Amino acid sequence: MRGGGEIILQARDISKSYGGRTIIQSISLALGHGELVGLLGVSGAGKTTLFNVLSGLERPDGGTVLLKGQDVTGTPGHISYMLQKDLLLPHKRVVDNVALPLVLRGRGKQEARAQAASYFSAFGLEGAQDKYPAQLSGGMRQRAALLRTFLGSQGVALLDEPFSALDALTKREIHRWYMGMMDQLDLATLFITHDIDEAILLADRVCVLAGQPGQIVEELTIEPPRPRELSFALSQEFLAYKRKILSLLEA
Amino acid sequence: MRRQQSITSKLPAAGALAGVALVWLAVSEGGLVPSFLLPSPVQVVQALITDAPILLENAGVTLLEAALGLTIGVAAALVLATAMHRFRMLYRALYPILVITQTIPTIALAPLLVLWMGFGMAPKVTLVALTTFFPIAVSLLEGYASTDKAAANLLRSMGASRRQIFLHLEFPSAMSHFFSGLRVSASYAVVGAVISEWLGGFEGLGVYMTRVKKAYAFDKMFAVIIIIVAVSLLLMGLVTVLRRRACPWEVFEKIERND
Repeated sequence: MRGGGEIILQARDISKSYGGRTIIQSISLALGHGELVGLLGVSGAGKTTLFNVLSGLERPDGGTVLLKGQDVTGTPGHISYMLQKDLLLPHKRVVDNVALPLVLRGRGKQEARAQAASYFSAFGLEGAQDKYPAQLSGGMRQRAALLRTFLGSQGVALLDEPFSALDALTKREIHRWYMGMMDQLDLATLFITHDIDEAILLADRVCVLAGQPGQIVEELTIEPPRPRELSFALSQEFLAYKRKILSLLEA
Repeated sequence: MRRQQSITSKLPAAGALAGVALVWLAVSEGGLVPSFLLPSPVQVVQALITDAPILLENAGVTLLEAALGLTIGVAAALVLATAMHRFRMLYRALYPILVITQTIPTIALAPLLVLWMGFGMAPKVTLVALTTFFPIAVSLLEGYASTDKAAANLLRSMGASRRQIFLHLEFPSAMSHFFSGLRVSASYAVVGAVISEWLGGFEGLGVYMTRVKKAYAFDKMFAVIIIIVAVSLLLMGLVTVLRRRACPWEVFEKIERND
């Protein structure tokens, strides 16, 4: 495990069912300090349910979620969760959108703003502080949403298909930028994706979620160190990972 | 650039209005309709000028009643809609009553209010408050309900309390709906004030209107109507100004949609 091996987020034996149907069963996973883990799976495998449990929005039927050793099962507000859409609030200026998690924790408005503003240039958002979300491009909105997620995090962020709404070029640009950012921010990330290439290109580890009810059927460690060049996506090594994942998903 | 566009987009409306005035002028001046039944625009403008002081004085009274009633209606709607949104039971209990009370015609209520409250300002303000309350309450309730569920979930995942979700998300999300309701209510307010003045009172445009009607002074009647329109437009314009102030982000959303 990269980043010294200190475990920051640990999920043990998580199960959740709705109306008698078990969606996920006995899922255990751990996220190391500064680690980037991709969660791959077909639709309906329970990825979003797992995230709802990890973020505390829903209480699992069984299992526990530990953040830095503290039990946070079923209690929201500890683990930062970025949903599929950027969900910037249209009525708040960008700086206030980004500072929202701090304000919700009872921080003063000015102080929260100042802290948020100090990250704007690192996130490529210079000059956007006082704009409204509708005035930003898709890529900028996404970066603003990522910054908000980061500010709300205590070292862990859950991203649900964070890049899926972007066009191919913007996506590649954001990938490159995000890989660079990750290390600076010291942030462990668990992200859901449908895109196998994206998972292999970005993640330290890829967890494959499959079956009904969903279980983690494989954990692959992607060996080459991050950040990886695009040429990695054309290598034999990359293809071998991809073949393995495809066979697991189709099984 | 945008200014120019907004001028050209208003041209058709201005043209149509000028057309109507021209037809009116031709019909009345051409003798198609006798002038005691339909005064010519020229006579109406003359009446407007000669009666200006008395018209403005009465308009002031009506505007005050409308504004007071509207303010009370808005305040009551804010309190009740927010409470109904917060407490589901209250919503279920009161929503049908809200709808039913709105089918009671204003004109039927006005004389009752006069009987109960006399000929002063109170029955007028009450009637305006009653008629403006409903559209605002309903649009607020709709606004609260239209909040993005995913955004509410996001705030919950950040550990937001119910109160924080309301303050940071639900209330601001409802603002667009609120102002649409307020705009409708602003025009109801003036009409409501005039109607209740018809049924008894000492001053106001409605009182003045019944007086000139009894004198068959149709040119003055038309002058009053024009003033009522002007007062309504003034109030609606005020709502638009308030809305721009309170929801500055809306401008950018409209630009985005036009692209």
